[in-house]
Amino acid sequence: MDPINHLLTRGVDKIYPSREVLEKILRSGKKLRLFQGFDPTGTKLHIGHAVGFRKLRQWQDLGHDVIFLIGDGTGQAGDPSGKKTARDTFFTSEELRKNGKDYVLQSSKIVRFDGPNPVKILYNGDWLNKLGLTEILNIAGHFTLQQMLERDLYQERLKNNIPLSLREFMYPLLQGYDSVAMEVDLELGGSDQTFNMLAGRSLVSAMLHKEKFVMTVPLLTDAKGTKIGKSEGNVIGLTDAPNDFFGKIMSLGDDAIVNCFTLLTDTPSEEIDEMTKKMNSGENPMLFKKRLAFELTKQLNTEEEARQAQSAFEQTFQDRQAPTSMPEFTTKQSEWNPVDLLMAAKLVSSKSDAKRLLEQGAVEINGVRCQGTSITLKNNDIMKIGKKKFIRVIISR
Amino acid sequence: MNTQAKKIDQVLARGVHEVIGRDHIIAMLHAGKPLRIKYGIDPTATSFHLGHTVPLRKLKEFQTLGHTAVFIIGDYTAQIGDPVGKSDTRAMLTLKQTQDNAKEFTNLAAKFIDIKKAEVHFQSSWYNTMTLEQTIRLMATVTKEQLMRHETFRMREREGKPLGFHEMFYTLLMAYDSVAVTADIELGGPDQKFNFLVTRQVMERFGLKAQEALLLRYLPGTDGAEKMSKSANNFVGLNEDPLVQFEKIMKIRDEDIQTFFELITNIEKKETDTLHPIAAKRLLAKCLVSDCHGIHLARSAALQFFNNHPQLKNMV
Repeated sequence: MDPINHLLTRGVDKIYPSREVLEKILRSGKKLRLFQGFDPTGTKLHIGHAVGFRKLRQWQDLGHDVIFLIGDGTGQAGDPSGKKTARDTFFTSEELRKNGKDYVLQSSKIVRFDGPNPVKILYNGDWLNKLGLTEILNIAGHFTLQQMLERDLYQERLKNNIPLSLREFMYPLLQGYDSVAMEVDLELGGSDQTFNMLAGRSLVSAMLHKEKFVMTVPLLTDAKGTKIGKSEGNVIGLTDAPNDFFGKIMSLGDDAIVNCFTLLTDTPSEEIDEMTKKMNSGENPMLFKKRLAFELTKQLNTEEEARQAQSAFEQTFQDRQAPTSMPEFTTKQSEWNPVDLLMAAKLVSSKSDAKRLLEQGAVEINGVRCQGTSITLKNNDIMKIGKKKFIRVIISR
Repeated sequence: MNTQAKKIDQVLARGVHEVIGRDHIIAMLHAGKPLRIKYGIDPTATSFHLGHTVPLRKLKEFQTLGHTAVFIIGDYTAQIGDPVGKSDTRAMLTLKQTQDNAKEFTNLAAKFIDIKKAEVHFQSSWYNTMTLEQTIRLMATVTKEQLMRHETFRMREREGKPLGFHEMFYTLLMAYDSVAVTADIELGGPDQKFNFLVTRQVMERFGLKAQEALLLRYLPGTDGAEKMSKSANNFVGLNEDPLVQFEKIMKIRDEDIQTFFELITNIEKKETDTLHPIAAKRLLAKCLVSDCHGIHLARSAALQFFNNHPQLKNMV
């Protein structure tokens, strides 16, 4: 697919004022200055964030000037987006800046901060904290209360009689001013940021007399619209260990597979359509989910780590499928040297065979790889040797 | 009633439309500790008018009772412009404009209060250094719903007229002034009631004791309108020529004479009750011109006025 088409369509929710106008500019060869902002409130970055990061990376790879903006200034105002009640905690500038450094580290799994055309890191506290009251009033003067209240979120609060602190109106203004301060041509963000990003669009028009484009990316959800990536207590973090990460992707619902492929991978859409068809006609979604988990683990780590994560997952998975009837090994002894145990249970024909299998990690007890020089057996433990050989341990008294 | 009690009674009655926290104020006044009495004025123009002298005179009354007059020049709020009663958003002034406007304000105020004993503050002395974080903390002290109880804002909402977001800062900045100067009592017109009530809440949020307030009656316009104001062009400017001032006062409606006496002079009602309206206005005009330009210019303005209008001279 043509890279500009790909940039403007895959994983894109909306473009303001329109895709056509933006495409014309891109086709003219103009390089744009664009940014996405993140309020470093300390949460772990998760695969939901990856949707935007991947888009930033595409812009970067096409040679545009990409800014990763850390909102240590806006973080103080607290983004009300998606919040049902007024927030009452304040983060200090220092806390926010420290969290910001963590964000850079985590996001560097996807965007590049070094090499050719690196993504630039800026902190909006650098200009927002210098704003005087007069400047704030001037910025505020470009908006009417009615415009601010058009926001769905505020309407919802008003409808439910939930107080709306005046402070919360500041957020869109400050985020809007970022676009002015950096004189950007485009802002990228999740669709829940549309209001704030459009505030910046009108502020840039009023204060700089130029057009700022807005590109929104969809929120990562399953087919029912439930957000993926940060459900309570089960954040799928970008920096999770490969095995954990693989397992968490495998625990997503089947109806998340297609959206994840579309938004988080480069798998051609024809292939995704094909998968959809197959799943609809009854093929086991597990296979596709495994492919997704592999792709994502590889993207964020290495191919080798992805392979290992997959085989670890498969082994555990197959353990659960262990046959219910299997040969038994009866013994009075519970403490064993692993090599002696394999010999005694007649699972190998020689000590060197036993050593080789142990070194390869092909011996498991209850799904846990056998390591070290001693093993403690319990009654009914299941030992697995290689892929198919199972044996049940019986401790006789 | 002893003299002190009488004076306290007087300060809460003369020219007063409404008292917020009357019992508390009376208790504070009787306690004898010097109180901090705040009055703020916006330099939206280079001079202020007779209407503004009503609170200044009240400040002076408090000064004579031993309290501290805290006079605030609103070089920040004047940039926004008080939205109260305005059906449209006004273009913002710059800080330089409002500060230029305010150049004569201290001198003008000195004609009505004991300026040497008063504290004079420009808002810029705290707002120039206010950080974004402090601004946000200030904004967090109120909700949108509270600010929308403002009569003017509701009117704009009802009529579908735009309400500039910066206008919502007006009340907050006024309120923060009281935090900055730790005011005990604030003076202002009846249309400031909303602002004063929000101020009480903001002060409490900043851990201070909430101020009380005296809402002073409006000085009528020279045209008989309820309120003298610059925008209605029915005002007497304090910088105006003595004869112009004299002429304007001579033109006020007869039924407003007593209100003028009560609000811009110290003369007791019983002394003016029986005067012919022309004589009463002459007395009023002389008092005012004298306050602004001194007794000599007041006398010559009177002479000149009656020379120009001999038919009126014969009536007194």
